[in-house]
Amino acid sequence: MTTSFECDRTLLVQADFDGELSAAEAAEAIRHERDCLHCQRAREQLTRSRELMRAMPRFEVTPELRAAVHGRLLTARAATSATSPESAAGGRRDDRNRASGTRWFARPGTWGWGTALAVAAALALVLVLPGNPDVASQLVANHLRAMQLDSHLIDVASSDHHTVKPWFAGKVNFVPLVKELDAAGYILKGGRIDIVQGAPAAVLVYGAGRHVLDLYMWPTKAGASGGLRAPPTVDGFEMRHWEEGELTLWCVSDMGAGEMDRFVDKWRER
Amino acid sequence: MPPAPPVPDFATLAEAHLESACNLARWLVRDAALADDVVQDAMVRALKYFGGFRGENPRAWLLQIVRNVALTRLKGSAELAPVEDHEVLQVSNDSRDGPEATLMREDDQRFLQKLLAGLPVELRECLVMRELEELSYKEIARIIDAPIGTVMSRLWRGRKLLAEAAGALEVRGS
Repeated sequence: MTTSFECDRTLLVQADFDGELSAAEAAEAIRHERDCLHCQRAREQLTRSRELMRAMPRFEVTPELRAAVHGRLLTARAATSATSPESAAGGRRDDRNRASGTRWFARPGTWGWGTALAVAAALALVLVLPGNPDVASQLVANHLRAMQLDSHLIDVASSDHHTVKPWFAGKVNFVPLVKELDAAGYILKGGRIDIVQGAPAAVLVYGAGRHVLDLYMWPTKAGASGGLRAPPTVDGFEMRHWEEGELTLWCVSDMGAGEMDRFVDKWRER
Repeated sequence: MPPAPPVPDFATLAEAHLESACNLARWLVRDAALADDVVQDAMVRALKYFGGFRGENPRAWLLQIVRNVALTRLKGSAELAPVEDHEVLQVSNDSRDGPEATLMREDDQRFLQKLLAGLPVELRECLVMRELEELSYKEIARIIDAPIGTVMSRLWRGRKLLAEAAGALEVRGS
């Protein structure tokens, strides 16, 4: 077997080339190199190989991969929650998993991912409806762009319905319902517009503890709603669906079933 | 350097290093679809282990997982499969157009990419981590779970092979 370097100090020269040496060691490497033809040649090869490597592409993340990663993480997180339901007693064994799984929701400043969760849940929603598979990918793409633009997930951030409601005027061709439910523990965070089934939907974003709830609404299409029922959960996310006045409403969240029912009750009471 | 940062939340960590994870996975498995699978699996696995992560060098921590997943996948037949021309073609028109890329004839660049892709995986990963991800010896050693000396000799072997191949091209071209 032949060795691939002819001088036993070549790796020292390489370490210098890589900036891995202390000043004293580097001085020693350079001193050696001055008298060693092998190492001079090695230095040339190092330089050449670096030029070549820097010309190689660094593969970039495609939007599809980013979406897929988000989706997988959300599913994994939902599965973790499912194995340690909040109401279950004796869940200590799962606490650690649970903590890691839910950590991003528990922290301030990660609002975007909480909402990402709801958006992904909404995607599941779109997917269970007949047709329109393209809406899903479009929504993902829009969402991802929003994420990349430093959390543009809430277009209007306000807990005041007098601010949020007028904001939608002229952006959607219907008047959305906006309700403040602070007293019940659901804090209005703001609103945004998503495209659902090819038409703009108003989305209200509520926070409840560390959970995020997205409430979607759009005008009920004639004859479109009869018999349409929200599945109670999709991939571990609670969903509820009802009609109110002229509007179809869907809400999606990672909160528990009981909590979700309570939200819907509180909302409809107002 | 600022003092050690607090443990970031997983979402921030994943987003910050997704690009590195993607690049490493792609150079390791050399197939776009497989690399995407690897990145996804690695992220899920990382989320699972996140509770035990102490916050020190998140990128190395994540890349270690990416590498393990990639190598497990490669253990099948893929590593033995030849590098397809189209894979190399796909990457050759990317946005990286430094002086080297423009000076070098496109054919040659393609050839060199193929050469890197064709290096044994243990040399290739060291080169990619050092030159594209700019990781230190210590970080690479941690990721590949080998002594620093091993990192150094693999880097040298990989670099020598690349430089010699380029030399051969220049001779052929002149």
